[in-house]
Amino acid sequence: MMMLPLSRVLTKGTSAEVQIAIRQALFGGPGARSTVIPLEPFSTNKEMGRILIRRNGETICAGKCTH
Amino acid sequence: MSGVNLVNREGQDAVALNTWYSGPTLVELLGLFPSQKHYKLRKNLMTEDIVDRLQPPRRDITSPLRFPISNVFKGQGSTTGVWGKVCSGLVQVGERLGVLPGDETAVVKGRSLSYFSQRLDFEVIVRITAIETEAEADRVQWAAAGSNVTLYLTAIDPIHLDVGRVLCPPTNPITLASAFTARIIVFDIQVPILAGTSVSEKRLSRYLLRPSLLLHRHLCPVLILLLLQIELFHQSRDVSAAISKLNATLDRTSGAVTKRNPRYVPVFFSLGCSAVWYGNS
Repeated sequence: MMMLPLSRVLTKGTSAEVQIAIRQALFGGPGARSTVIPLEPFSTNKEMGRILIRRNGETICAGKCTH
Repeated sequence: MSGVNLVNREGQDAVALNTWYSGPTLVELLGLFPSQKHYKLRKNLMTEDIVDRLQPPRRDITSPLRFPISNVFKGQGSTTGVWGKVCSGLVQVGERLGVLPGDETAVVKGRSLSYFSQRLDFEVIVRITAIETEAEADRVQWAAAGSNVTLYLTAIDPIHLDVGRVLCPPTNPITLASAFTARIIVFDIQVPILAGTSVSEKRLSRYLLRPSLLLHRHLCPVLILLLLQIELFHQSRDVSAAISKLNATLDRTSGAVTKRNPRYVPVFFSLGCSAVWYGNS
């Protein structure tokens, strides 16, 4: 195990608790959607509490909503 | 495919497994037979019998209805068909449901990153005229959690229906969130995940509108933003998002907090994890 002097970084294979914020759409238009999503904590409803996160088309992590 | 660890763990194929695994076999784990010895006494039991004894997972029918819309299409007459999976609860013909998030009602005021959860008055109420299961023309009166069904709705303008919206009872609407906390497992990625929102969208849109601004000095924040920007997939909806804060790193097996507000994140040279259990239809 090696320590990296980097803050605010999550590397592969780790598990973490993070805060996620939905972004406002960059450009408004007919395709722009509201910036809230219907979501429930995993403890309340398993299926409505699961999330997947992608970056540049690659799935980088999966998780469950805690609150 | 030699069935190692299905009912027993013996023979040449199981040598490698036996070096590190000493727990129960699959059949033992399912509680069908307390021990291998017990199994041998009853080994002429047919496989079908074992399958029949399996306890199916419980359906969450006591929770309020949650029906995330996966597809919208025009039905017969004035009805609109929506396809999706009943995540929890029950739905029946004739019921009145709300659609969340509604249109203009769901606009978040301000751009606060703080926790946000709000109950909205339902402007859009729909009435179910028919429920259809996957097998065409198989009309049913009700559907419970776990089933994939098509609902035919009336009293609604199809513009209010959109993939990713959720049908729920007006008395018990789903919460809406623009920011939330999640526990995640990071996969086998090359570029680490960054937390933060150091570059505003306003600034990025300026770069996008005037590429000449992309001088060397300006390039760096843009690249960082591209790293920060993630796509969040939840049910059949995907939205642009960012990880705003790293609360804690967790132990992967126990889930216990190993470090709060970590400044240093250890690098595990571990395998990428398989996350089949997170999969969702």
